[in-house]
Amino acid sequence: MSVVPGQPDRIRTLLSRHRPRYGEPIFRGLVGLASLTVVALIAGLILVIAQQSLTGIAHNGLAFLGGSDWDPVHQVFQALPFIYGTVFTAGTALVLAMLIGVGVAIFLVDLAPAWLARPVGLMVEMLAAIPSVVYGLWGIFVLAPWLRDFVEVPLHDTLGFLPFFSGNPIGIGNLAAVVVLTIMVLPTVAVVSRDVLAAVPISQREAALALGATRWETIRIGVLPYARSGIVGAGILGLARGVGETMAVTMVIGNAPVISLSLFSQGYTMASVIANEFSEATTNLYRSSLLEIGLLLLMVTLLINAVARLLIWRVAYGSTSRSVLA
Amino acid sequence: MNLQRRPSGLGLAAVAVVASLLVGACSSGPGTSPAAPSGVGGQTSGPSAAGSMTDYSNVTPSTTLGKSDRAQVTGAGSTAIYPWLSAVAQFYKQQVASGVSLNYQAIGSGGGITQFTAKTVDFGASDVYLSDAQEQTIGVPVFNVPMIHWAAAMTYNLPNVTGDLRFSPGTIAGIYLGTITRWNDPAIVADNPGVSLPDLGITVTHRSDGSGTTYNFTAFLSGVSANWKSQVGQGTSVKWPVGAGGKGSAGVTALVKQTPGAIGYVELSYALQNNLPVGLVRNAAGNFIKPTLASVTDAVTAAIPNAPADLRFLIVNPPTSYPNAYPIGASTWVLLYKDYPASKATEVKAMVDFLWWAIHDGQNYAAQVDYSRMAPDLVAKVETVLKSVTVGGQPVLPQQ
Repeated sequence: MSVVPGQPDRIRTLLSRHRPRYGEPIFRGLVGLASLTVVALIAGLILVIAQQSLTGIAHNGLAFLGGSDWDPVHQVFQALPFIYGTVFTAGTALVLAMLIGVGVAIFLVDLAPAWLARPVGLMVEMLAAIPSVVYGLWGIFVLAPWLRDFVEVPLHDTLGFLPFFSGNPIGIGNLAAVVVLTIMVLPTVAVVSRDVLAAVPISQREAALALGATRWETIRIGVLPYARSGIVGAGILGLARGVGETMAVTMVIGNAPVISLSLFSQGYTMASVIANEFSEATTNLYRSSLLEIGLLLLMVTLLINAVARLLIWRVAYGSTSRSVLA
Repeated sequence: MNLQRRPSGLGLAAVAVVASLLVGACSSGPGTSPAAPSGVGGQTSGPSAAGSMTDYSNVTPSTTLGKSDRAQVTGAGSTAIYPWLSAVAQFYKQQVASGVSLNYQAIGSGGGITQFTAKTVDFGASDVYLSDAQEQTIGVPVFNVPMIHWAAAMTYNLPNVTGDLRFSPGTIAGIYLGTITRWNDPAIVADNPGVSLPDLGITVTHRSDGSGTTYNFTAFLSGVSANWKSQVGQGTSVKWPVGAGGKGSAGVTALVKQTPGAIGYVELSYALQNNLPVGLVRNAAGNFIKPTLASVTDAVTAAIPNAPADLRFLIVNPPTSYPNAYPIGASTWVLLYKDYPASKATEVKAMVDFLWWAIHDGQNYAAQVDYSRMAPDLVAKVETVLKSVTVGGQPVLPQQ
């Protein structure tokens, strides 16, 4: 157990004071209650959403997961395009964010001088503090037209035969959503990876250096393998962020339930369709079907978080006694 | 004009979604109430202010609620009605009953219907009238009261094309079905003699969020195109054959403004406030009509002779006998219970008085927030409805 340095007197006074016997059980009860509240909240949330989606589940059946027809007028609710859109955009964004984010983390921990690492780290953290509607506005007014003129049209003209670059490039679509999501996921990946890399014992690096390894070789053989599951955990936390992102994506993705490989095509995500259609969903079945998407999204997010926790615990308790995230 | 104008009704509505808003809570107290704004009558808001200036004040029933009475009326629903409702409530507070405040949550029509069904609000507001099934779920007799009217305006982005474009209904249906894909398509050229249209692809845009504008736009298309009716139909959200969706009128506008060759539809008040290019649409009489407050009021007048007694009617595609009516009009209904519990007497009295004021004197403020005046024929019908509202079985308004 660690002791706050410089305060031994205070601690000694605290411990020698008269302490009533019931203090301990009350404390235990209070913190227990606090954590129970969280459990009850999650359980209640799932219960209510599940119960509210029953009408939808009964009416839509399994086609809800496998079909691609979303037609509120004719009461056909099939969610595949939304599932696909969520997986496609969040997945692509995650790959990009991992490449950049882990690079940022390595730079901050192993390469950057302290005077640089601190402000850069702070800036990365600030990216996470920008409200998503701001990303959305920036996406629709700045990013999308820029992407259209300087990325999409040139790519379409030269590589338009590839399925990824086919279709009508108008700026709004999958690519804009992926770019915005990448920026939003990046801080999660970078910050968690940075903490994971910082938790790698210095002896790992010293051992590699002693064997004559270069900087890059040290990181490759001494640091990254050790931090691997923690970095995967960072990615999965980032994925959960990307999957659940609503406002920014809704503003730039074009909101058309189509399944397309093309980055230029418009798409749709689970979170977006709920945000778009929930407020004016005037029939029971319609609202229930939207809640069914919400249930699916909730379960996906919970699953992703559970896996991330598992991986992070493994790296945290498998190496040092210090939790890198807590 | 000292009216608090909203730069965009939509942005404000979005704010109201987050926070329940005490409409008029910030207004000045009694005694400091400013005089009626100079623009009373709406005539100053441009040539579009509709109808004749009728003085309705003499028909206002004597009110038992005065400046000293306090009541808070709660409502929830449509975001479209919010700018109008908040402005009119503000003036009502200043000029008639300073103790009456309106707590309206612009959470969307779906949420409004849900809360109205759960009986947690005094009134609801919806861009789509209640269906028979929904009225059955509520379980008690209710009224659908059409309160405001607006329109879906066709906006577009065509560089180098000056003047207002004209669209026949079939052309709009073709564009939104994806059968008309270029601006120099013969159908568009035929609608616009003398205009040189570019050989440019059409980028179709629509609202991605469920909206009353979409409901009436698709109702209009269902009325003019059998293909649309069978393939797509009408609803607050539909399965669009083509196009990209923008969130809210602002989202659609952003798409249209940034994409040469784009076309979209937005709420009329939004188009007016943002000076968007707006197309003329041909009505049943064969005239190309610009969407204005007056041409929307005409559409309401046109719909009334055939309107059912319960006032559940749309104002799209007016009949040929109304040559100046705009064909893509929309309405928002205020939802009322026929009978309220006696414990609610003060609130209901305040609410009905307010609504009565809103359909008479309050109409003078409609144009200031870019809503059309209620058609005089409709005012008479809504009067009848308001007079049938009861509290504990007793009518709220004096019966003549």
